[in-house]
Amino acid sequence: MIKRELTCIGCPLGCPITVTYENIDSENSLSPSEPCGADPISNQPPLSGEDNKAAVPINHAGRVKIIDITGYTCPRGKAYAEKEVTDPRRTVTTSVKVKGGIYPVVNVKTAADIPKTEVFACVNALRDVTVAAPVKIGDTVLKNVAGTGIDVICAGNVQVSPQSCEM
Amino acid sequence: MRIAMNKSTDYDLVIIGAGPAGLAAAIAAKDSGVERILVIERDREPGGILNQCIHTGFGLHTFGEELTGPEYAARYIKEVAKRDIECRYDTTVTDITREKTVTAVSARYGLTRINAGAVILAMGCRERARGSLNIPGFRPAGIYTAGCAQRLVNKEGVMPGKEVVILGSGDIGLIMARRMTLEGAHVRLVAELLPYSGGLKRNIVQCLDDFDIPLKLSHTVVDIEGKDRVSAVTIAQVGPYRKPVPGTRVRYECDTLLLSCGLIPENELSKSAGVGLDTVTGGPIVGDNLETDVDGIFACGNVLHVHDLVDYVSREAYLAGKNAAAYLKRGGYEGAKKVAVEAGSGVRYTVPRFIRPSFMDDKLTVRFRVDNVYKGKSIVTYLNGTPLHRKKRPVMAPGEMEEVVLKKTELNEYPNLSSILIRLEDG
Repeated sequence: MIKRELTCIGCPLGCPITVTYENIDSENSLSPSEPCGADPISNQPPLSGEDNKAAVPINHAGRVKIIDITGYTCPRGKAYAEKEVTDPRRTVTTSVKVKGGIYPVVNVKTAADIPKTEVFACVNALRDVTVAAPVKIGDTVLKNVAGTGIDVICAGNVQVSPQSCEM
Repeated sequence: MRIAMNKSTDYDLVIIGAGPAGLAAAIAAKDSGVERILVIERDREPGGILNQCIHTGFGLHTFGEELTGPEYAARYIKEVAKRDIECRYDTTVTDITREKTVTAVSARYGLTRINAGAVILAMGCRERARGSLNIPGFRPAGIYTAGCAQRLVNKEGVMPGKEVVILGSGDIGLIMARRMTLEGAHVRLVAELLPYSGGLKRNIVQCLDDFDIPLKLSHTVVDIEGKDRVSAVTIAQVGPYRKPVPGTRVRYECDTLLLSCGLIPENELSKSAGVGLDTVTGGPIVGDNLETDVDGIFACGNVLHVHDLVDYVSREAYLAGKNAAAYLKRGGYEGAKKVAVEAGSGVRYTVPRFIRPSFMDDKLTVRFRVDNVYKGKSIVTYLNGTPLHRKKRPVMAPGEMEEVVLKKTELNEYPNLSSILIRLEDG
């Protein structure tokens, strides 16, 4: 049985939540006392994606049995805690290059949260992406980033520049 | 109808700053009936600091969504445009007088003097820079405030450096720890002078824990090496009185030091107008209607006190706009009785600093910060020494603004109201 202390990130309150659970899949590489999903993002292999999916399990949902969750003060907190243990995800916000705009970059975000293990894969996939001005909030920048099924979309506006502003 | 009909004014209302505070204030003033509004912004576009805050977390209270800074700003910019409110960009205000004459300079409009019926201060804040921190060393390249680094990465598209040490665990420092890491830099650690972090807990999780970046509390930078470029910084633990503890120095080779050591409301203009400032917040002293001690000059947003959540900035600014409109319609409150709001034990400051019970809104939100981390306490409000209400708060920290709501009906039950006290108590 594992007890994990989390801080909910659903809103700025940051309620401390305790999740008690068990690893139930005896074939997995985790020992019974090893926490799920607690790995720092930077410890993940830099490029996972389709080829490596077997090597780095993303969704622990079938392998974890939640016993108890305490400390949340709203339903979002409970949902976050459960998700953080079974299927930890993050929204990634970063920027991509813009060609011909009044700024050389525009800020983007994943349209929904993606598995924590794919964060660097997402950022790396965007390294070579350039969009052409004008760009506006909601424009699609990259579809199905790192095989997550989630698109990266524009979260800022950049107008066309009267003179070019490339990097 | 006194001042609004004053033909000698060029505008009824001049708002300094088109960041989230200025934008919300403009919308509220327009919707409250003010006709001639001018918003003056020194940057090329509206949005203020939100334009470089590309992380999410904005708008949860206002829109029920988690937006990035630019997305939140865009919603308000759209509302300002819909109302056809005049805005001047690339225009810097250099002076404001007590009589509300605003001097501004820009390439497009030249040097202008604008007579205003009322003024709303919404200039935001600045970061504390290395010079104020007295860290030894030369002046090598590679030392930036965290906000400057944020601007460079998110708007200019350049990386400030590769091997990074961050001093200060306020939200900007935490956010930049993640941002720099995502862009390929190696963030060695975040050092924090105090024994607790000033940032939101969610940012410790999302920006440090997620990336295995150590947070060293009660630590500071005691030396910077490098002449042309930073080559190393030395971190030491601090003890009582924040003095470095001998024998705890650790040297980190790096090329970049980011400083996230405090935000200071930008009040040079307020001072030139003779506005009285609160020494604790660094912002103007205001009453419940957010008016300063200079007739017809109001303040809201980070220039008044530094906020954690932009949603509260918008609410506060909205009230400033509404109140400026009310002022223009009926004039000032000379002679109205003022009751001071006292910051009691555990409370560092309150905004507003005083209330005019006869003229306050039906509901008034008093915002404040605690002066330390507290567990298992309650916020207690007293009117004339009698407890009004108690709010239990299991955890409170200086980095998270608190609030108490006062009702006009509650205050009116005390015709001789002379004291309002907010303090923390056990239980």
